[in-house]
Amino acid sequence: MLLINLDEAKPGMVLVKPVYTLQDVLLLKSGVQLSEKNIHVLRSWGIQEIWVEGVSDESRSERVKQENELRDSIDKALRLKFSESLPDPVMEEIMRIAGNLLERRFLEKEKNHGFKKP
Amino acid sequence: MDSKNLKRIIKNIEDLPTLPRTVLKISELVNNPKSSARDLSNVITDDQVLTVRLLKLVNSSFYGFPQSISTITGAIVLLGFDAIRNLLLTTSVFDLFSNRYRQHKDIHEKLWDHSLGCAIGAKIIGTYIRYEKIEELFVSGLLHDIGKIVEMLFLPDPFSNVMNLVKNRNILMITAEVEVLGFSHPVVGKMLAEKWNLPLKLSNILEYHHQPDQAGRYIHEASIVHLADILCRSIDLGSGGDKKIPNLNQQAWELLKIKPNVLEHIIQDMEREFHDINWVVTGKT
Repeated sequence: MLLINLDEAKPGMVLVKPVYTLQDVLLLKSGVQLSEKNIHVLRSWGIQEIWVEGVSDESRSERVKQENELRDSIDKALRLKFSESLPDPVMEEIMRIAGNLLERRFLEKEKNHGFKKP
Repeated sequence: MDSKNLKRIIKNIEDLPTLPRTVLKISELVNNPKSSARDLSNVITDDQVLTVRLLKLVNSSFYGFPQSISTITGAIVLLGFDAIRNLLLTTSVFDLFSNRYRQHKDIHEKLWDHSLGCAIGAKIIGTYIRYEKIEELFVSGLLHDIGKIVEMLFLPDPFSNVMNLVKNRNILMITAEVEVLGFSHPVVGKMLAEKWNLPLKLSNILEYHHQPDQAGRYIHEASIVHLADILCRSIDLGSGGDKKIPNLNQQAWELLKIKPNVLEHIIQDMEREFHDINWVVTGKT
């Protein structure tokens, strides 16, 4: 989840925490999908920040970095494994397909057991 | 060639396990044109373990029959004699070598996974190129590296040297075998197949799975197993004992006429079926 400034709020975003006024009056419940109208209401009550669903840019770029590293290490291992059977267009193709499959297999496993480098 | 080691293997091959009597009997029945489905069924149902395994196999998604098959006669009628023989051979071969050897237990298990991956690969390639007897391909794939198991069992120390060489220089096992032993697993596999009186086609495929263009009239079958071996190594289904991939034999590739875009489907099918069938054949439930 993400803490964002109300100026960044867009219709379609989903609240992960309820929003209260300074006097603790509930304005919107957790789970509500924001619309133009209720963003306007929040603004008129002077709300500045809200918690919404989502992944921060930081953790997203960390994730992308991890996945790139994974792919690099798979490709590196494959190159070494195929070293004696290259260059050959068919073997190149087999290596490409194997790379995709091994990556997918790893990410599937990770879903169940958490991210670990191969 | 180091004839001392090969002689030792040949001498010891007399001590190699024979196939279970039931399987031999079934083999005879299948080869006899006068046998009926009932004859065959009587022999199989005498053996409870075989009966259960056979029913498990025919009901697995490997065959994908829409309704479940509950009798051996039903299975025989649906699959045919040859297929039944091959299925029983498959499951019996697994028994023969299980838990016989401790020193290389880890390699042993990975080698079986590799064999199974290759068997599935051969069967799938066969399906794509519409080869008629896919069970034969399955058995060939399963047995293609059996020579390695024989070396492991009968030449444990030289085999350790082979494995060390593979590890230290990161080379193909067949290269290390020739260097250490003076011969390699395809020849040993062929010897075992002959001892077991397996069909000539099968011993030929075992002998030439690394040089399919030399397999003569069985070049098609040897090429299929050759490719399956490469594919299952590429996606790490088990391990052939090394971390290298053999060269693709150009003549074999051209002969099979597989379009490059079909390769992706073949590999994906292999991945799926491998995880599906593993428990059926090894009996792990």
